Amino acid sequence: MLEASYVLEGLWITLQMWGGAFLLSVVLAIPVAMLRGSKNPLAKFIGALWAWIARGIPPIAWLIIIYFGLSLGIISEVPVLAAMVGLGIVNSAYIGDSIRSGLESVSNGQWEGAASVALTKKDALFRVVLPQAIPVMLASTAAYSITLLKNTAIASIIGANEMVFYAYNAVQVGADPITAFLTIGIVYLLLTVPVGMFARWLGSRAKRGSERVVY
Amino acid sequence: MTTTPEGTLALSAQQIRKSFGGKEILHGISVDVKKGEHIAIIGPSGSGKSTFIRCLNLLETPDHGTIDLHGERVFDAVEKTPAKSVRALRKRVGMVFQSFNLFATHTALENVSLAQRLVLERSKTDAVDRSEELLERVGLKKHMHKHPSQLSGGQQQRVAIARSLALDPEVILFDEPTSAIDPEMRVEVLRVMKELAEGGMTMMTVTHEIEFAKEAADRAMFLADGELLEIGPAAEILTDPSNERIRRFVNALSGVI
Repeated sequence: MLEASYVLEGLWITLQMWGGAFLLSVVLAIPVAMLRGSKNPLAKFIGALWAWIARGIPPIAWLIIIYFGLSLGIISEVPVLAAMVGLGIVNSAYIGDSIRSGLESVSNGQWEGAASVALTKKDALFRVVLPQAIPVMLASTAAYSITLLKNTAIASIIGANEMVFYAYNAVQVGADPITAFLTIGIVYLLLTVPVGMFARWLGSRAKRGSERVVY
Repeated sequence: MTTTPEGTLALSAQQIRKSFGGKEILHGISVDVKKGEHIAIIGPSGSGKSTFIRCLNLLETPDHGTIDLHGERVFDAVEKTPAKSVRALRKRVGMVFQSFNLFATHTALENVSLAQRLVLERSKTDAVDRSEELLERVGLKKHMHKHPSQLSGGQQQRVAIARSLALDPEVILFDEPTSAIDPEMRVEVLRVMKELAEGGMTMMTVTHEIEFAKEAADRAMFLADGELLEIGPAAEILTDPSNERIRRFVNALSGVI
């Protein structure tokens, strides 16, 4: 029998890894998107190389490489941290794409309109382009976040005590596998509901915010 | 300030050349625009008229040539123009686009106010007052809280004109301002432009509206294949062109076979 207290404990670790990996991926994705969108061929190459490596290596391999890499080197016994770093790297490539495609969805005419009234590039980006790009970015970011949530399950392989870890352990000591995994499956499913709602809320807020730019 | 006997030159562009991907589009075009003058730029598609007008506020950077505003050198292709100087030039030379390019997430009022706040650093109240005044002038005060998507093409273009006027430019460039607008909506934009021209604004307009150019422009310049074919009084050049190339073009636009 998979005890509710274990599910909750596992859920807490799952949420930590999800949140940590997401934040790290956004922090990494901004320079990745800038590099990939750069006119400098070297910068473009570095950005593309990062995305290729981050995305090309399976998440499970990333986690194992980082976990054993970190354990041997700097810190030991930190599967949760290793999972955050590994999943953060993988997700950064996807969020980078989402930032880039969001920016590209805004027509060049918006940049030119801003330039024609002498706005700086920064003002054009923050006041004119991003308010239009952010809702587009959020839609794809939300989809990637759900993939990221499900990928946290991989961390059980390196011993992170998240939901799958507890479910698997319960099965080892005689719990019914169908019930145990169906239970945590439903928890994952429920977690995806607020993501969609949150994305829609942020989208409408970003839009309203932009309308309030001057006043 | 350079003063010529006929009056002050608002804008002087000399020997403007521009290439894209190794192909030269403009082969050295020069024009002197007097203060308060309205010059129509006429010519077939691909003649380089849009590229030329875009060079004048550095949306395209000319490969060769100079630009002076009221006798002050503001661009010289031999030197790199810092971003700050480019913005200083754009503050003085406004631009109205074929596709309006209004800020999509901003209302008409915010479109007109934004640069006043950020570039001129006007207070909110001053910017709003000035914006309302300008929107009133183009006949859109009652639509000032609408977003571009809620306005017709003709209305959007009038907001764009107000947005450009908000920086008190010395010259306004119009790049085919009515080409993307339904014919019955064009007249309201042309009326605003005519009023501006009559009010002494220095203007350059790329247009296919021959009748408008004859009536509202002082001079017309005809471009073909990246060269300036002719420049002279608009009514003269466009009513009875002596140049065969211009005659054929004007006749075709007027529907004369």
